[in-house]
Amino acid sequence: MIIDRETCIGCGDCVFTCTVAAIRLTDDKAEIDREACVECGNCLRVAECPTGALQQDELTWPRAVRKYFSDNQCKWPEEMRYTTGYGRGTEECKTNDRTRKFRRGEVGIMVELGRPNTGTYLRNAELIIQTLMRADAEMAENSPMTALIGDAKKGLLKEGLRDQRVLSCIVEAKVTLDRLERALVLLQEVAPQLDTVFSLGLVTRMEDGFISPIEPVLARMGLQVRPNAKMNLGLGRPLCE
Amino acid sequence: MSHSAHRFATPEELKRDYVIFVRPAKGFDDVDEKTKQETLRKTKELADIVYKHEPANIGRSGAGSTAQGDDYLQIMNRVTLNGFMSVVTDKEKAFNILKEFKQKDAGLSVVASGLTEDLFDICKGVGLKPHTVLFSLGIWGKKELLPGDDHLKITTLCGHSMISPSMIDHYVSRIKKGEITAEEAGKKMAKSCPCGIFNVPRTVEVLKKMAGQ
Repeated sequence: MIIDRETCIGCGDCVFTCTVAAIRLTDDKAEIDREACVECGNCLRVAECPTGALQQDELTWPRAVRKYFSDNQCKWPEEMRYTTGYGRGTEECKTNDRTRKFRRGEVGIMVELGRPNTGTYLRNAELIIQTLMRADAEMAENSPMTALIGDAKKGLLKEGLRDQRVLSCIVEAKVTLDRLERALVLLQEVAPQLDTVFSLGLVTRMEDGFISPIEPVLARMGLQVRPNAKMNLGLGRPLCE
Repeated sequence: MSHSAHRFATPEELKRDYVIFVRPAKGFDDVDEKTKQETLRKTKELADIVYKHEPANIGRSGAGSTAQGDDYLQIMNRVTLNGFMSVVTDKEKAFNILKEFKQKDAGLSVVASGLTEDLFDICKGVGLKPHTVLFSLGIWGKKELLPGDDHLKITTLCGHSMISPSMIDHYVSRIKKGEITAEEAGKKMAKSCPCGIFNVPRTVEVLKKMAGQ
């Protein structure tokens, strides 16, 4: 995003709409910190800039990646449109009753970096990718974050992406149940090295609908799930067993 | 919308926040024109069931949401294979909607987020067995960067993080000055979250508390 200083009247109506506090008033003019801006476009949609000073400039690679991840109204390029094509682009449990992406004995690991409210540089995602690879995790196919990996053996992102900042992104992978503890231990070790937060989700097929096979692993590690969860209710047809 | 598993609140507050959404599967429900038309029809039928039960919000990415004042029929007239999102604020409504979904047997994937215990109760009552669950292990990493709990109770209601702590502070300040009501502020905030997953009644509760009302 950019703000045209000539036409900005300094009303400040855009300041509070910024999801990452990148807009501020300086000398009675709104100003965007381009380094902090994640190109989510919320200011443009919500602030209704009275003079049109607030504008979306043309974004090129790699900065455009900020917008693909952060603006839920902006579609990814056709070749990276795996699910809805919007936002972080992960399917996790949503359609697993149709797609059988996660099978019995497998656990999905969803590392949602920058959420809530901190934003993240993609270098944090790279660190998480490398960590999960050490746990023999299989990176999700058809995931925007996986598609940005340039060196799959070393878990390195494509050139120029590391210092791009996004509102959030999801590193999605899966491990077999017997490797879950190792993966969680490694995530515990790497978490303090990040300069952001992540919300951690684990995806599992349920046994007989109501028994979680990951519960014994979590109990052994002294980890607790939050009281709320997200469930695929098994209403898809044909139902994958 | 992975974040609906991470909505931050006390268990008591979560009793007023149940997310229900319908999600066509890419590569399955869009394979040819006939299938696409069937998917659109089924999506509309399931959305009509939810709408009949007066949800706190219903909407679709790119098409708008009722909580921000958009017209339901116009939202559903938008041709998109992204399904829809909705929120209800009590367990009974969630139960009744899912009961009708089961009877309809439309064959599209349905996802619900909320208190695990309550959702399991509902499923048992309706005769559903959760197929796959995303459990939240909470927030990890540099937690000193996080805003306060009241802020998180609102910001995590938007799956794409479009509602910022500074937006909350802005409206709380205006509510305190009597320039706007908490209900009006909640509706304005819903504009930032156009998918239909934002729970305005819960937001209003938190805004009132923050404004000392």
